Amino acid sequence: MIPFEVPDRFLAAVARGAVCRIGTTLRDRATGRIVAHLQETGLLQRLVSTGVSPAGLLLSVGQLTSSIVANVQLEQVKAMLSGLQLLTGASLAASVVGVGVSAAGFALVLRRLGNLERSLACVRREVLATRLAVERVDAQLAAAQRALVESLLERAEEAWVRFDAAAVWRQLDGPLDQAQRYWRGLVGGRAGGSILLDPRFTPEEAVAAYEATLTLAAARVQALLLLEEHAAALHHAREFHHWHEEAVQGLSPIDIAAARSAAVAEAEGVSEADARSRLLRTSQPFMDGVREVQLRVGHRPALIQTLIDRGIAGREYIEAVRDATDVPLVLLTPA
Amino acid sequence: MSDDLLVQERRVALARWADKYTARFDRELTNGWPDLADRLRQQVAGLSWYELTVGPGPDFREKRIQPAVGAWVERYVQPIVEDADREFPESAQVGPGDLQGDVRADAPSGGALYATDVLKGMALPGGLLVGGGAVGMALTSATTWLIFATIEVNWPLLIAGLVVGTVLSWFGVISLAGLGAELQRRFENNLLLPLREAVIGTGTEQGGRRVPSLKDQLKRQVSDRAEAARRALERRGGP
Repeated sequence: MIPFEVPDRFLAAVARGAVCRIGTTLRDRATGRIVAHLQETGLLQRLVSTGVSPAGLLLSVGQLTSSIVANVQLEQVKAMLSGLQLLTGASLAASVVGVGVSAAGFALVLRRLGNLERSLACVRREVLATRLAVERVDAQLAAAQRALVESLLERAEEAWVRFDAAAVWRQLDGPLDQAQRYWRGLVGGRAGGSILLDPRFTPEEAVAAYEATLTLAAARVQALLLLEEHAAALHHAREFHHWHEEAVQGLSPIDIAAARSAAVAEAEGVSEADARSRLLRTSQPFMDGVREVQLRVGHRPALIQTLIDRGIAGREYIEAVRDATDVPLVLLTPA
Repeated sequence: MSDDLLVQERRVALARWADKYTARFDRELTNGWPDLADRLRQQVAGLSWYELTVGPGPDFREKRIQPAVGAWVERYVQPIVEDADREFPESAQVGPGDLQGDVRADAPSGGALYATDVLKGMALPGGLLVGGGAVGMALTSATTWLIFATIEVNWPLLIAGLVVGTVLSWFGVISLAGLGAELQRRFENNLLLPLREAVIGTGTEQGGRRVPSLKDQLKRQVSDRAEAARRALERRGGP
């Protein structure tokens, strides 16, 4: 039995201002100490999945917020999310990485990747090839890789009812990592130039590549915990955090708008100033979501460390959060 | 809890602060430009026949242009600077001592950008003389260690000086007949376009060197301030 706490216990302290939420942690405002880690449940992932457009979470924030507010019947759920400031645009956008360890089932991961792939389908092949050549990843190889990952994700979901679940999940580990690195190569970063600043890709395509990377990294941590490979999950979470910081720290809404304004102006026959101003209106909430993602990715190693310190089994933990359908969040206090 | 985690959170807070205020300067100054142009247009259109004949005196700058531009800065620039100032300490979690000597805006060419360069850059095409008095008065020492710790340009005075300089330069070449319309046309062509570039556009050129616009300099100040705070934070190794 996982010793979860219910968020209600802390809501009064949050309302009083004694405790605040930063990323996926609740903090004592006076000392900065972590009083609890937030962990999403299967319910939260289902709520978030209902309002997502094919463009992904980071570009459908407004739609997502209104969808959740309109569709969630339980006032208690709304009150909890709102009390912890998790119904804001940035926090909902950051659902792409999950709260704590991702509770998204492998089937949901597959569905999201499918949507994101479709967003990228119209990207000119030579553009992809040029970019990926720099990263030494071949586009054709990547297509084969994708088929393998799809098959494995389907089987990984099915594994919950198989007697050889661990063996199936173990097969998933390597390809999941390779697929993620393919997307990382496409997203780029400080050294290679970010796809978010590359006008050859539309904003939707760039964000789709970024979201695919986040989704796969979250799925791999989940798979490693299911295999009880806590140390490897911690290592991967830290390594991904480092990559992510490099990839997004130097970006700003202004940079994104400036890098893309000439291409948008030419394509749509508007002035560059108008294009820039319009791009800024979307790049600002997007980057707000990215900043929240930075915090969540940064907090994930601390949560895994807590699982290690408290001797909590990975599979039992994931099962418990997936099966929780009455609350959107549970809490885990540090050791 | 590790210091690394806290450092990262502060880094994100600083990035958020910089995202917010660079975007806000960009958006609000761009949106505010038509208002500045209208204010200047109104003042020039309001010149009397006497002023048009003998030239506007010092009162024109001090009583009309300067208050008009000052009101514009107060409405569009000052609130952003004040909000940014107020939010910065909470985001940065660093004291004034941590930032001393660290903050300097760099011109895109790589050289340091000083207030005097900005003034040189503001000498508009056509070699208009801004006037020593206006330049001198356009410099003030900042009183706060926050955003504008370095010498800042007093834009209301500077723009007022430019407008007066430009208007004066039109006299002597314009016949009295049709003066009003001609003045208006010259105002639009000779002053507003370069002034727009200097305030919200691509900046101005001086000696082959690009001097960024007011908007870009303000954004640059925000970015540099955040970067300096980030460096200070990482040097210190924890909050």
